[in-house]
Amino acid sequence: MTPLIVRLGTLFVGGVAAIAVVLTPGRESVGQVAKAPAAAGPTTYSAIHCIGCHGGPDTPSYRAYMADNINRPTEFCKLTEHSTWNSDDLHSLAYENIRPRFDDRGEPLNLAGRMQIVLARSPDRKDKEYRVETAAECLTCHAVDRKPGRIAGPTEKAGERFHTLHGVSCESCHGFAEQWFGPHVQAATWRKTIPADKSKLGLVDLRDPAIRAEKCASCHVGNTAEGKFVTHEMYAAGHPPLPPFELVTYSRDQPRHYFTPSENKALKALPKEDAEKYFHFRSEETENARAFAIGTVATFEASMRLLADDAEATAKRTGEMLDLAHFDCFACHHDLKVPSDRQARGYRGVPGRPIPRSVPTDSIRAVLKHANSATNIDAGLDQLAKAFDARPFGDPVQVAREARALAESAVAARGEVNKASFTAAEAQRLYDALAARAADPKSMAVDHDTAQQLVWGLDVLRRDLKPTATDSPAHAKLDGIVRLSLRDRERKTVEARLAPRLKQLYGFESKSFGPALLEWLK
Amino acid sequence: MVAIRLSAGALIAVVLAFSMAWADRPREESPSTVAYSIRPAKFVGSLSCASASCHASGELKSAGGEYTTWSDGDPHAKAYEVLSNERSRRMVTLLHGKKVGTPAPAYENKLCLSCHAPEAVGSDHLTPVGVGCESCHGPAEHYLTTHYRSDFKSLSRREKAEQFGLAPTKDLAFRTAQCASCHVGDSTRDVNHDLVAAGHPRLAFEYGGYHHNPKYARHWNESAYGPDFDARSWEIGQLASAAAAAELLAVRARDTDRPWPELAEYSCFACHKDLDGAAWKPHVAPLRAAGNLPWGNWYFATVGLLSPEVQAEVDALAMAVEKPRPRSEVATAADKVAQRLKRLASEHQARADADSKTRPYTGKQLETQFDRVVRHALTADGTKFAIADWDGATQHYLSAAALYHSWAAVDPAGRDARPRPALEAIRSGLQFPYGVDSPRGARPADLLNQFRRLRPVEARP
Repeated sequence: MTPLIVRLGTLFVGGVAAIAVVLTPGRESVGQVAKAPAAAGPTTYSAIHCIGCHGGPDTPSYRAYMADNINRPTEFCKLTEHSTWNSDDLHSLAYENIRPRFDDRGEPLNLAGRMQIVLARSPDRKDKEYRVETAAECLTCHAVDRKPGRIAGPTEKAGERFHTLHGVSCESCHGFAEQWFGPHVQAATWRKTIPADKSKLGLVDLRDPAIRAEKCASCHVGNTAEGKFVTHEMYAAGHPPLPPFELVTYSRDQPRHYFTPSENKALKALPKEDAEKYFHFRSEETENARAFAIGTVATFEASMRLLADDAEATAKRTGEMLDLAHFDCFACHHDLKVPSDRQARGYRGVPGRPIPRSVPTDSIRAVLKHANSATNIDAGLDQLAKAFDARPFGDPVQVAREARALAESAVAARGEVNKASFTAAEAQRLYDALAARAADPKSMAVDHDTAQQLVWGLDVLRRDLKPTATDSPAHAKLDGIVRLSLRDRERKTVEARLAPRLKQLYGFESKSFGPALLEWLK
Repeated sequence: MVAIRLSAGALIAVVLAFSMAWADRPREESPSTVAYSIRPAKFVGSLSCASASCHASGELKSAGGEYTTWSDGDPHAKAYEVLSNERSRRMVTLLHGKKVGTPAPAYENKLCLSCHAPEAVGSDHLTPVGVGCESCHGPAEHYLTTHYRSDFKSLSRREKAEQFGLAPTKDLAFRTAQCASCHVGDSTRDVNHDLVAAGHPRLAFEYGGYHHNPKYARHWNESAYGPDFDARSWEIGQLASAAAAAELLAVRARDTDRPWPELAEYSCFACHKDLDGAAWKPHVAPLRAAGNLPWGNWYFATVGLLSPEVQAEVDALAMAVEKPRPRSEVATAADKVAQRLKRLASEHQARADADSKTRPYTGKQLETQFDRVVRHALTADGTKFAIADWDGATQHYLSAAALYHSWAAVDPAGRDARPRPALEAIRSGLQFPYGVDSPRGARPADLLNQFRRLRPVEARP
């Protein structure tokens, strides 16, 4: 077999000379790449370096690669990644969405403008010429962060730390390309490099669901160690509520710009042990059950870590309350009904004490049981509930302690879940166990986010086992109650998405969810 | 039961005795500014008052029919009964939660009884009968057999209180404090957020609104006051209620066995609103970040009208509550505000004692105060509510209505009829929709326009 690198080299030289320029990192001719001072972290290649090969059908390289019948690179990756991201993926609008726009009279024209006005007026920010699009507290999630780490506070300015040109782009998730950019196009060697060695060059091993989940969760749940936390103040200023997180659903509806293992002809053609060794691909398993299981545990870990980290910081500041973003939005934000359905339903703890944001406990319990895990989160969750109940808005010291212990339980469970099997039969067993929990009336009397997380998990598992399951009227009905997909068919503005979402959150009633779920489970 | 009812004829009136208006009057040191030391006594039970020849003549709302009026037309008579209803049972269950054992029913719970049957709590032998005669008038041990004698009747209210234990309910500052001991709360009677979440109606006391509540049959007349009673009781009621609220805050903050932060201190509807259609959008205060809990406005919305100096202290207290500062700091600030407000209420009472009958507020004075209330509800340029929430708007409405009502009482022919439709529109605009106990679907912009239609005489159409 002729080394692939030689053939690819030929392709570059003979076929598409133009790409070579783009592929040469750090060249001054690539004007888009600003060399940042060392202190600001690695140089970002930004999306512009990737477009040459991953830009889709309109790029010369794409046609050249498609014509390469020897290497068939498009059997391994789509090479349309950039165009998918650019035209369909909301991540590419992440920075655009925080650029405030105003009319001539200074009235805001978009959500960022409204947030800007409210935030700039706060005691912490006023007189600091606050701009949301230059504030580190926003950019940590809405741009490429060259040097992820804590931020000093709400008025820390962007400086050189962030690359804002393309929102959340390739390197935000895949890692900074400075060291792996060259090697990764050399298919013969690169595809025979184990993930750990790729990681040493800075490539994030996203095929490992635990690592992928951690990456996604850093923004979609929060991570104060990386300066990422949507505070209640940001919500009050207008930030849309973060939806619950489920790894497979998020990956699918991003929308996915990569082949799943079953679509990946190159991967499937590999010897079984190589597929697993180099790409974490286990041909004997279903597509997503493992990612669902590991993602569930990792998301729980991320939620508990965020809570623990922030509660610890709060406990150090005398007299302060936990940030209200840690609580269930609807524990407080509801109109008061007469008669009150909440009072009729009863409370899990002390009446009138806001409860924490929902965590998908049914999914976690099902996953732990499936993996025969020794980890038991029930006692920990009870203790956490007590810490939240200890006084209104929780006792930060107790909350920090209990959340930390739960995060550590999740770490312990990680290995056990990783060892579990997710063959079709095992995935069916996991699905059945989760379905049985879901059919318990207690699971159906829940808030919107818990219901949505639960259903996402069930849906992911069921699609693996029975791909046509999404065509039923029951599916459409449940989708109308808790949206089963994360995105709209068309990419809409954040403003256009927010109002219907709030309507759905407030329209949620567990009494209509329960029967719809039972129907769907049949 | 809905906690706050804005019923039709409810609102009242009144007048503001204003610092400016009164600056040139001689200040008398009235006995009412000195706290009463009421003689301790034992309860004898409401039945002791219920003789047909004394207070149970059988005629509602008549002299001699006080007991009958109370038992047939006063919700206080049913206060004990409600402790056995479904809501009370559920409250007990919810508050007990997962604790071991069986909770005592509400009708045996001392906290519940302390307001719903105060006499039973203060006695070891009385059968609970709700909020009876002595709950407000004081234990009758010493005055039961003396209070109808002519020598008793010639005593001052202070002497009756200090020698015989008869509560000085004619003193409106005292009376309001007496009402507030349950309807706002005090050191032993606290309807906190835990209780409200379990099902207790929110407490939101306003003297005039309660006095004129059509569901409340009064068993007395206001013979101690002139035609400006509603204005006097409004100003004294506002101050004394605010004093009670500040005192309760101090107790809540100081007693480390109580929940803290106490959510009942904060503005209910700042949090309790569906985010998809919330109508009231509070201003972000200059010193408060968005999304912080704002302190409740119900008891302090009009304090600035009655005393700009106290308003400054109230603002400082709000800062302490909202930051939040250490409990002890809040308690100290709240105590200070409470003392100032109590003093002010007593001073207003002294003026009412001196002037209400002999030289009551004139129509012109009441008109001026009415206009002040309306201006106070809005920002200086009149384009926004000064306090952009339901509590603030409602308290200003209640105040304006009280003064408007009082204006008619002192000058039936001279009262300007033009603001009336706007007042009625505001009242109905503030009402909660059926099935909801919060201002869902309110239209603040419409309410603002109606308030602007109440604006000063010269600006009125």
